Amino acid sequence: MGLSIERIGGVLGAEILGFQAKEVYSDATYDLIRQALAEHCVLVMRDQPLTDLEAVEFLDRIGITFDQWNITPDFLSPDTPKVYQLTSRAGGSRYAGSTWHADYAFTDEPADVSCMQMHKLPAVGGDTGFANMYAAYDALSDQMKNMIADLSAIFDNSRRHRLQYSHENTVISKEQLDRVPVARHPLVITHPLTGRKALYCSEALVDTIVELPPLESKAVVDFLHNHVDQHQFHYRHVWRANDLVLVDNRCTNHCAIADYDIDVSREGIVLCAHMDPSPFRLS
Amino acid sequence: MVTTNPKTYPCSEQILVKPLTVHIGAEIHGVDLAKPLSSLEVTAIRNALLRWKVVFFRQQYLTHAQHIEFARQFGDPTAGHVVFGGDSEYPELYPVTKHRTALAARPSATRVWTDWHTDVTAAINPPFASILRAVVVPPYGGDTQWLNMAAAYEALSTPMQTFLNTLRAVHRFKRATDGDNADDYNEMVDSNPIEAEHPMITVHPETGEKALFTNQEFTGSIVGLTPKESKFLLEYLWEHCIRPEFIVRFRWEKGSIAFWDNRTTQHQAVRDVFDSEFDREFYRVTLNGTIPVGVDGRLSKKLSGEPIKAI
Repeated sequence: MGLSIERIGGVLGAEILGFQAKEVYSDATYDLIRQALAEHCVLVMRDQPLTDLEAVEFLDRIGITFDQWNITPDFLSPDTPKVYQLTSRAGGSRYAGSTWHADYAFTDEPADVSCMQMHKLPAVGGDTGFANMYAAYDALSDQMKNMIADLSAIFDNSRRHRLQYSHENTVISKEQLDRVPVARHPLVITHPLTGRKALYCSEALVDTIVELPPLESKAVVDFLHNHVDQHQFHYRHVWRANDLVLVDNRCTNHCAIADYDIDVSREGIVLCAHMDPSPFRLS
Repeated sequence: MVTTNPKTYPCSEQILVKPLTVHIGAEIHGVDLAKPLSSLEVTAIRNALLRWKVVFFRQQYLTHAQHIEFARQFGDPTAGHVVFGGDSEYPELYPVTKHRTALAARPSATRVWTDWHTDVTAAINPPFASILRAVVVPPYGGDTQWLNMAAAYEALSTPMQTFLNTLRAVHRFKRATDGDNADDYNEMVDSNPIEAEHPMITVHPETGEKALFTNQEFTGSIVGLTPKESKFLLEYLWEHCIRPEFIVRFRWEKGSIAFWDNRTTQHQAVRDVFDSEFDREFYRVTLNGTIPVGVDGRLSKKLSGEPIKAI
């Protein structure tokens, strides 16, 4: 098998060559991909046209896919509830994901891994930003690492909606927002495959640190969000149609960069999986 | 938490200590500072100082010499100012005037008053206390504020206190970047570079009380943190300190005297007097301090310059 992995970014990101998502490989191959994903945070496979069902079959070989839990069910794939359709069209989820986040971090069982594909793209723009949360953790001083070692954060999906939709008529009703749960996770998690510590934070979701009073919490949270938002931790993926991208949410934040004319349609899909072992179900 | 709250604290037949807020500041009545004090009076004033961080006296019309004599009963005076010098006739005296026209050493280097600060924390042994006396007082405006850094520490969460207990910071005279006489000022600062590393949390040498020990005038950066971590933490703490419940604001009258424990306070002269034609002329005597100690028992460390000496 001529599978190879080449780095495509300074701080994260690699491309898998000699691999077809539609084909079934040996367990050893998927072990290798899971390990490479944990190390590189993001893996890109070029030229992988897939139906929504084929995408689910592929991701089920990596982890355990699940039905998309979302407050805007209108955008689920007609073929499977495991696939969520990303679309910038009017009335769609145009600004979804435009702030740093890890998928489903606002639930008790965050997505360990996500898989994205773009089918239709603007001529330029519409990239996705990825942040290496191992690197963000490593760059903290030892004293700061100690400070946050035992802290946990509330991940609140309504913060995302306040941040992303305040400038736009939202497609989300108050009733829908009220149904959104919150979850509590440690600020620092250890990735089960690499043994490395990663900052588990999200500008889109984290408002408060449980163990700190409000003003201290705000100061630390604002610091952490600004810290993650530094270019040396980032890789920016310039999409080609039919790129298939795997993201390890245990060590990565990502954001959709809404820099293009959103009336020009950008369309793709995202699906998610749980992994075993997972740092969340261990904790 | 204050558990008993009488309006006044009688210390002897004559001396009355009247607190001004829950956390900081008390007026002391029934003592004449122009005369040598009894040992009971010295103890009463010192205890009130330690408890209330800043104490105030009214209608004490002291001469320069009496001011210095009063101060000597509580410690050893330093030169008026460690960098800017003092009065030529009374070297212990530091004139604090609206335009600092009395600044003996170098009038051309005078700057507008500083913001919230603790005195001379650039030195390895910042002053223990200062005693400020009002001579020319504006009819209104020109108040001074003090805040209680032990109360500010107490109000932090346990994780934040634990974090700060391990940290130390560099204090120095910061160079002026703009404004009046910046070049002359910087020449004086550069000619006498004073720099020390202090614990972020100090243990009071007399009471054992823990206090936050940082101020925006002198604290440059926290040792071992990244520049961004240091910046966020210091900005948060400086903002935290100036919560109104930690602050007392004192309105001066002719003959008013303020005596503060520099180890557990910051102070700030309200600059509104610069928006008026009113004059303001005060004099300060500064008492020499010891080297601060952190929660881990480590002393502050001198990075450059000499310790402040008593004269």
